[in-house]
Amino acid sequence: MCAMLAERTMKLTEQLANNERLLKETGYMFGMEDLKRKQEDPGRYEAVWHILLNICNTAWDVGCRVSSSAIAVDGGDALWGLHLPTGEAVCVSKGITAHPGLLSLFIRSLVELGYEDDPGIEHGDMFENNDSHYGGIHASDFDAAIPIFYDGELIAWASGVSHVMDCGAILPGSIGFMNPDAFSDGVPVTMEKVGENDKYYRWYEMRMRSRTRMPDWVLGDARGRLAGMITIRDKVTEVIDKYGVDFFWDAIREYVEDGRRYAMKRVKSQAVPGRIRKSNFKDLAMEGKRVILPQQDVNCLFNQPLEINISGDASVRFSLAGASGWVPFGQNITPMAMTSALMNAYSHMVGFDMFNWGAVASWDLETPPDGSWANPYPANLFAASGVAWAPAVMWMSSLYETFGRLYYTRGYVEEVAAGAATTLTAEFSGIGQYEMYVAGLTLEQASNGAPARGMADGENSAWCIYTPNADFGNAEVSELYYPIMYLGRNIEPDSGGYGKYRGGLGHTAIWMIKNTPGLEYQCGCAGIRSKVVGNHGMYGAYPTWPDRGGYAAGTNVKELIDAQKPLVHERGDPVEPNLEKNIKADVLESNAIAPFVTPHQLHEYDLIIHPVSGAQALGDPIERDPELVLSDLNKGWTRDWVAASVHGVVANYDEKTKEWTVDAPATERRRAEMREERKQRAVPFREWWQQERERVIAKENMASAVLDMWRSSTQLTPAYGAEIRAFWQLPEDFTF
Amino acid sequence: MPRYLVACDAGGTMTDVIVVDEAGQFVIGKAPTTPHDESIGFVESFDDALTYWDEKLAQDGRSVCENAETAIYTGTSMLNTLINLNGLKAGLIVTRGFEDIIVQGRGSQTFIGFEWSEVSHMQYRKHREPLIPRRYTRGVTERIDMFGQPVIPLYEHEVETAVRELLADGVESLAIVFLNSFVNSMHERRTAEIAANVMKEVGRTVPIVVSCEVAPIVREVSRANATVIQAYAAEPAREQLINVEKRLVERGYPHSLKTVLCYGGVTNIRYPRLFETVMSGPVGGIMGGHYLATKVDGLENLVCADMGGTSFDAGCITASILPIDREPAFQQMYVNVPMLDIRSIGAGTGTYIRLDPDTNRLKLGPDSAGGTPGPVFQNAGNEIPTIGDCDLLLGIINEENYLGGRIKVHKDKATAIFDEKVARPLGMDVQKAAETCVDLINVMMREHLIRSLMLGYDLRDYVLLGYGGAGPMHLAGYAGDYPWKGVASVPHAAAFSAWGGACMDYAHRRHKSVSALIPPGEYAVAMKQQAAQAVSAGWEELEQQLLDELLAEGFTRDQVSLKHSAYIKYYGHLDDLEVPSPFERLHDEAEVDQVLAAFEDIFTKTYTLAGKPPLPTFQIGEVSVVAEVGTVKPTINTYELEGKEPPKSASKGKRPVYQEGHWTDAPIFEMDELRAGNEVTGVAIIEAPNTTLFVPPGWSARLDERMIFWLNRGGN
Repeated sequence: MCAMLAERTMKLTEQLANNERLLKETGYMFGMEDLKRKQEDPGRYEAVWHILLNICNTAWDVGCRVSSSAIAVDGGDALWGLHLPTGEAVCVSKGITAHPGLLSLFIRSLVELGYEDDPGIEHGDMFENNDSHYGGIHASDFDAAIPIFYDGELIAWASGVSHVMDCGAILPGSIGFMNPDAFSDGVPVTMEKVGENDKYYRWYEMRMRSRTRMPDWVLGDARGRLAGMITIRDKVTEVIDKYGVDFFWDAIREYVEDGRRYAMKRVKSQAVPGRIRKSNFKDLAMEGKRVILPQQDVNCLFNQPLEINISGDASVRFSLAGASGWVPFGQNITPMAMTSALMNAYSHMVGFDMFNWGAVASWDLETPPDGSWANPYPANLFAASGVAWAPAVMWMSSLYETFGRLYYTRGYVEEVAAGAATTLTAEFSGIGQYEMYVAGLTLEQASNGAPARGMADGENSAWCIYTPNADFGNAEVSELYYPIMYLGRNIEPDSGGYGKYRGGLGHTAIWMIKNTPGLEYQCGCAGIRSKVVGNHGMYGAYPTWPDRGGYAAGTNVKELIDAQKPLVHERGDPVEPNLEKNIKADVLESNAIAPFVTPHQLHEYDLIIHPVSGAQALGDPIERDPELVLSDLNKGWTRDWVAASVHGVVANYDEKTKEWTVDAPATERRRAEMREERKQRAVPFREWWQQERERVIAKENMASAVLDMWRSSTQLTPAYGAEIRAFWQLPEDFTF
Repeated sequence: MPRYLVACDAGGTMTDVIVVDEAGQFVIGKAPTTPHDESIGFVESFDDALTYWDEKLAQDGRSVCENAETAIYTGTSMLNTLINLNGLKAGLIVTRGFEDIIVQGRGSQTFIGFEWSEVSHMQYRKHREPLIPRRYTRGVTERIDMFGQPVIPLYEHEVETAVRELLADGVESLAIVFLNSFVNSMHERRTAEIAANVMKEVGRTVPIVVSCEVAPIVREVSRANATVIQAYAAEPAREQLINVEKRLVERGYPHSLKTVLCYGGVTNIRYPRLFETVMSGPVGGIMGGHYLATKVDGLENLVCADMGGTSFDAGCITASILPIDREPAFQQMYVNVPMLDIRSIGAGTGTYIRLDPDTNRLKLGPDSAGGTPGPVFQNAGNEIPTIGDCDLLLGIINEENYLGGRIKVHKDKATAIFDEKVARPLGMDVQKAAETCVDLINVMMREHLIRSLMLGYDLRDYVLLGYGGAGPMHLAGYAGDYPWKGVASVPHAAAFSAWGGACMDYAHRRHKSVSALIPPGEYAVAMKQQAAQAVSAGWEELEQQLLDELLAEGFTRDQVSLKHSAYIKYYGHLDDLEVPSPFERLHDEAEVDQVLAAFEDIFTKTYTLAGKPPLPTFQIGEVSVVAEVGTVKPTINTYELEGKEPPKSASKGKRPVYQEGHWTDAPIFEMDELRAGNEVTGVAIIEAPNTTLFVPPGWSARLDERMIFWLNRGGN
């Protein structure tokens, strides 16, 4: 206990250094080889954990109800937490699990930057950050913290984060995929003391009112964050009153160390040691589209390699060696934010017993290559991060798959998750139905298809990689916010990957513009695949489609309505989309490559087709049980030509019973033919390798985006470049 | 002849019957629930109850049934219909483009009731089996906008085709759900008309259920779920209720059977809107508490907590206002059915105790061995230690007379298994480990009460009422050292939910979405006038519906009392709060101001001052009216207070009880023999055939003149 008392008299910067020293020297966080409080009184240890968890969830109840935006309440894009004085999250509420890492690092940054001395930290002070240069992810996520003092001692922090509907970026809304640079990312709050005595400073409110487009919502969210944090502070003080400050001091550290041990034990018991890698590529096709600056009239390709090294003692090391260069869009992310993204994905795949910073201490994330999309500032201090989640989402999806393979190897088939779906966002801005300006995000993207499991299909419309609170809410509620009318919101057939177990299906929203003189629509992204298929599914599965939207401006919809003719309620068969089949329009695009902003303002009776993607599949599609294909046919979740051409299932429709039946012998024959066709197409690996090598040397069919990507990847990580050259046996001086 | 009330609560495991005579004396019966035909379990439980009066249903039942003022039945038939998917073959007509509304539901429906670590685990996600598959769903083109304007007219030819196809498919009922029908129902009503005409033409009529009548409330998924439940499950459930009524009528019961509504209140089993009874099981306890509060001073703020074998269910009554959840989660669905806001966690005597193999952390539940197989000591197949085993090992449960001696206790087995699986791995002796587990479950329940129910309210204003089979045993534990105004229980705690069923008024409730915005500044006065009109019009419409309904059921206008509420929030917030109105209509700015002031008072009590906007715009989004007719209810007698010392007849000797780390010889009392005014100082145990009231060290129990036990911290 003496060591504890000594530590408690240290300054925060000293505590931080001490914590790191102890972890390095002992292998245990805070040097806690024994969890004494846990051992001495396991009941009290659990009871206090339970109380702290309830406190955080009470903060969620209070904060979300006070917050203004649908995205906080219905979308779950908010979270509250309790932290050690040096930042490590001890315990967090339900909510967006991508944020506890950011909040931890935000508080740590306050410590590292010496805020204890200047401006000082007092009871009632409020600190905030949304600046990605200092640990933020993107400007629309506001990280906040207030100190918790007990008898004059800073004993912990309460934190809160919420996503605002408009962050004052160059384009309206909160998903700034088009931002060319940091100056366009939105209103900055850079590690600022934004209030004292539990009140925001007047300048803070003034800044939000003058620099965001929906200030009432933004300030409502600010009040929600504060209300939740005060709830935590007050209730934690009661806990300390009851259980004593010494117990509290020890216990909150033991919870973090316990979290670390759990993560390591899960890896040890379910994964295998060694090195596993996954290549993944994400594109951003913007050439020829409406952009903000001329240099954005380009296509970009991201190299998103993932390498995991697991040692015998289950310590894990992640690497992004080979990541390609930063991009002139809001799709760059910082290493600090990547840490939080990884913590999120880890909680999904490795799980947690106590969701806190402990998991982060169980692994190392190598600093991504300087100048890469995952660490842009060494090369470009002003790189944009408007939707920094976008590349992280795709990378996290790779983590699903790699851990899925490890689990499969050990026989934990039920723990497998093939890659996740992307999350295509929809944002509107313009004059709303109440004749007032409105800008914001719908919840459409927050409920995708879920990945295929090792022994079952993925669930439809049930998962979102950045928040387990997956939900798209009610159409009637969205219509209260924006001048749109839903013409459809059905499950999209065949939108999941194809496999023995298919990916969960996404859905398609069809909107008709109404009750507005004009509206802008942004089909943005928190993950997105423009043309390139990112993540492929596992073990022979076929991937999902890239994300494609649609719109029609200057339509004949009003005439069709008057004549009671068919409209558009579903995307329809991609071979003959309903938009093209039923609608005439001045501008009609049924296969718009995401992301995009509609070229012109939309007006009444114009239409939007907004896809929400399905997830990846597992296993060979021709090993899919024909009964599962039949079930999908009867539910309208697949089409007969997909059943035949992808799954090799021959099915017949009975007009009388309105049901499909499978022709089992014909299916067997068809599958045998498909296997034979595969054999005919197959070439020995060495032959394929030689052909491909020649193409690489000749740079055949390599678009500038491809060349740019390989060039930056190999330059930013020379060892990766050497490996690429070695694999293809390229000359030492070969460059892309 | 004496008059009786008969009330039954058929739960998932046991069916409880309570028979109360006009003097307030009661008997309680228990029998296993028989889901295939609930009348069997009802008759057995009724029979069991009468044995406590030395009577037999077969011989003496007529004298009770013929003289029963009312019989009230709460069962699980509708719940079972939804679980077993044996409802009607229902068809659904929806706004075109929303044909997947039931199949797809909402993502959040896939993790209702999950622990957070489960929510984060994608592999657990699963939508429930839809009550109406896509095959029996048809979309028709139409759209009403959010203002209620028809933007796309109803394509009537599509309606006709849809109805014909569904009838040809053999549907047995038809649900109709269109977007924004809560603002303007013209398309839904016209569709129902067309459907009725087609049915006439085809020569086959099936019930038609329209969402604008079921729940004219915003949020189409929840409204669709409510509508579909009514179309799918109401009639099969009604059959079960009619069977129960038949058993009573055979024995001379002269009235119709009543059942319990989710929002508290009883209704005739022939009430058309039977979906409002879908989740009525836990209602009885809250309503019992609510009734008790009308008879006993100081109970207007009451936290009702029911601990059984599996779950810990709690609800919070503030200023005698029942807590209502208008969009509860139920059976993996959100449903627009007003329900008493009862929140549950997995905590009961059957709650499993485990140690996490990776972290050696102590884990309680949330799953449970329930009543069957129950704790290890029941030797009925469960070999995982439970909280009930801990209660036994600590000496609190009477190993010689568990549940009145009906179940044999195998203490050696419980001890050995608990030692092996819990105590030794924790490095503790058996009793210390058992006490640790009990303390932990008590903390979990206490935290559930405080954090889930109370938010910003002050505990010092609230009485905690504990009931349920295991409630009195853990009551002091989950009350803890928090500053409750009082901690209470009742002798009939084990059947309090059934008793509560007999304490309800005949009630119907209606909600309606309205739209009223009141900004600050120069427009406030005009907008308040508009708000007054909108709210009053809503109340008037709902009142008329309710009065029409109740007058048609034979009540007179002067028997019906009405309660009006508005649902208000700060503009921009998503969650509103129920604000009871002192006015039946809002006439002017001053009355609107009074209602808004009441809202602000509730808001700051519920949340924090930090959440209040500086210049708020108020939004009124919904109104409700409750119509009640008084019913005959159990008498709550006042007894003369006797001395503090319990009579000798109440003493059952002593047995060792382990508390705070050591064994103490605790006096045992027979609950039935205690008299008003008696006091018992802990450590002590007060036993009844169906429950045990435990008085820990440092606590005392006093029985007041209403026969309510009050537990007090600090001994005497």
